[in-house]
Amino acid sequence: MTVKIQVKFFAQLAIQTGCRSCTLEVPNNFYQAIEVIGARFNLPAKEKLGTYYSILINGKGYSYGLADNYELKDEDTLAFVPILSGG
Amino acid sequence: MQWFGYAGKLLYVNLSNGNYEVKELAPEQAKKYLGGKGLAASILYDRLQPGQDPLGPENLLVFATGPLTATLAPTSSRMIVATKSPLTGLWLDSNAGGFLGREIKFAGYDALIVEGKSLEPVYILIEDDRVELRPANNLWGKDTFETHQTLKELHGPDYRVAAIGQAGERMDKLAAIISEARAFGRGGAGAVMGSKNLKAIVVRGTRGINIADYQKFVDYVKEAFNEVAIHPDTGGGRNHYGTSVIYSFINEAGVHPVENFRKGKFTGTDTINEEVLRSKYYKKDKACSSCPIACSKLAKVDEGKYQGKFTEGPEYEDVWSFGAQCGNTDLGAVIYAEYLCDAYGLDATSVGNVVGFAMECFEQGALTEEEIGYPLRFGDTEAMIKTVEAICQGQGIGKLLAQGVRYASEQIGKGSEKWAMHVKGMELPAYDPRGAFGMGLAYATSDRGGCHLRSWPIAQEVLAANRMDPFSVEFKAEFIKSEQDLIAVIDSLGLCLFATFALSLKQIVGMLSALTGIQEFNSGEKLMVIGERIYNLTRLFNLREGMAPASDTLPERLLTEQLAEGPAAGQVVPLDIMLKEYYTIRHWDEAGRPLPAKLEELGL
Ligand code: SF4
Repeated sequence: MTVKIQVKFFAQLAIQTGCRSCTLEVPNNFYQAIEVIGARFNLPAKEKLGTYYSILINGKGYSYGLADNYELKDEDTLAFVPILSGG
Repeated sequence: MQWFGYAGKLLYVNLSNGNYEVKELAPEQAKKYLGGKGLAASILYDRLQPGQDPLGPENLLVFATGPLTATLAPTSSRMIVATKSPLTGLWLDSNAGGFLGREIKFAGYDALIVEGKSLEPVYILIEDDRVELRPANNLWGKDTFETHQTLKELHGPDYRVAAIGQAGERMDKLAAIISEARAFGRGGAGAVMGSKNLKAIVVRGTRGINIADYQKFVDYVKEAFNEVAIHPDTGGGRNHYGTSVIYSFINEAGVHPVENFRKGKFTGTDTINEEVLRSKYYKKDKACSSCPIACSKLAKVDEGKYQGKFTEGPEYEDVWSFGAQCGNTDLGAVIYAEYLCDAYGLDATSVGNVVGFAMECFEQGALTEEEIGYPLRFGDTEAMIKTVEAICQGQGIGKLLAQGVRYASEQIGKGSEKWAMHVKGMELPAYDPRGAFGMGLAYATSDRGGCHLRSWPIAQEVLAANRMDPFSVEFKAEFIKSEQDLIAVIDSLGLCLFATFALSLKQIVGMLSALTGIQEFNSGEKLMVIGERIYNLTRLFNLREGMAPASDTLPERLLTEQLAEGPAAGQVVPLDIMLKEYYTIRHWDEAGRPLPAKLEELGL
């Protein structure tokens, strides 16, 4: 099953992908969805999640460590956020 | 004693009698408090009698560097100004980069301590051993740009300057000290300088710094530069976008406060965001001394009503304070407002906050058009600028607003106290803790009042690998406590907080130990104990000044009013639970007083 979601890239990720915001049709499984988005924008999406960037789902940053079968819904927003963390 | 890293000397200047004295830095003081914030805290705690008027001659103004200041270590430009704040009546340390810290250290001093009050306006001139008070009557009334220019023309471009503008001269509680476009902004240190009739300090230093183990130090520095270069923030986004690198995602996460913390999401992001700043306004990147990140920007407005206006910045906090906080969507106006604050010497974060407060007062009927002189609604950019100008010039309603949101709300009354977004008198900055609970605890327990620079859990709650759920109280107390201690260390060393995104404590310990050769600094654990000692000392300072423990709180709005929209919709900050846990972890009693056993353990 697929869903239509809004995908956003912020700061340097917008430069890297050449996109700030767009609507995409992706698999409803979260991890499959980010693989599709990664392939589309040439971003090593899954490998760098949590080390190079984080994802906000509808503004809430719980994406890291989600259940493998987490399902996205139509009109959800996935925002790709460059990571910040204390040393 | 041979010092490494440190200059080993403290310069005391007494403005009342015009004398100065150079004292040795005591090794025990350095080992116990590092430098910078810690050193200043020990000096203020020992020398300032409790209960003094912050704007009286007895108050002290301490300009302190850290052992790493002015070295090769990346971002080692930083220094602090500490005093008793006229805004909060409590402890204040205000941190800035730029070049002043380097110059003070090269002149041969770890700190400059200013005491007393001059009868006439003066500036302090320091050229290595030579220290003089010079008349500043011709500078009084000038803005900070003119003051810098006049002093640099007189003494030379290599002389570093820190000055107050007209706001400091008037002793407005929001007055800042400006040093070459960097601000010791928060808490009113500029007013303390004005109260002493001290217009500026001018410093030129030509000495070097001794290094205990040169090769080791250089190796650690190289490693640190590499870490900073490869980190996605310090090696990429922060250089490109400045501190506004976080702008869009803070708003996306519902943490960007809107219209005096009444709304959960800003809709003006088509015209205000980091991309527009970079492509349309930034003209040049700038860096503080020894900094490879260069997050500072020179921004200029090319067209429209504010054409030709420029500023160094604007920083993320001020893009918020003159943007979403006032409902303004014109970045040109943000740049002009920040320029005004820099010129007159004011804290731009607090000024934007207080303008948003006045807008709410107007919309709620607590301030009338007659009292203000014009309608002052959210989203009215022209009215915002008029109000900023009034604050800068100390005229009309601006005279009141320049004393900060707590004082203004007390004078206005009519229930306006509940729209005054401050903690302990310091205006809140650009994060709504209803979207990140830890930030609420960080504000409530910050040693200088409503500030995000004592702990910034946003990184962990929202932006990092989501190690903490923003809407849970779990781990918050523990995290805030340890980050406050860590940041007390960083602020005492002379490093920029942004470096800590990339550098580990181990790397910092490596640089510090190789630089100073001091055994007491050779592990992260030891430094964290020093950080804890410093945070407890500033707590003791505040308690001695009569701070009520009940002031470890948040504005009522954040505790009781739910946001209607955005990711934080329906949330309020469950502060009590986190605060109780925080006191326990800190070994403070129920009233927030450090327990005797903890003080003994810390050697206080
Ligand atoms: S990161 Fe920015 S604020 Fe920090 S030292 Fe470098 S230029 Fe200055």
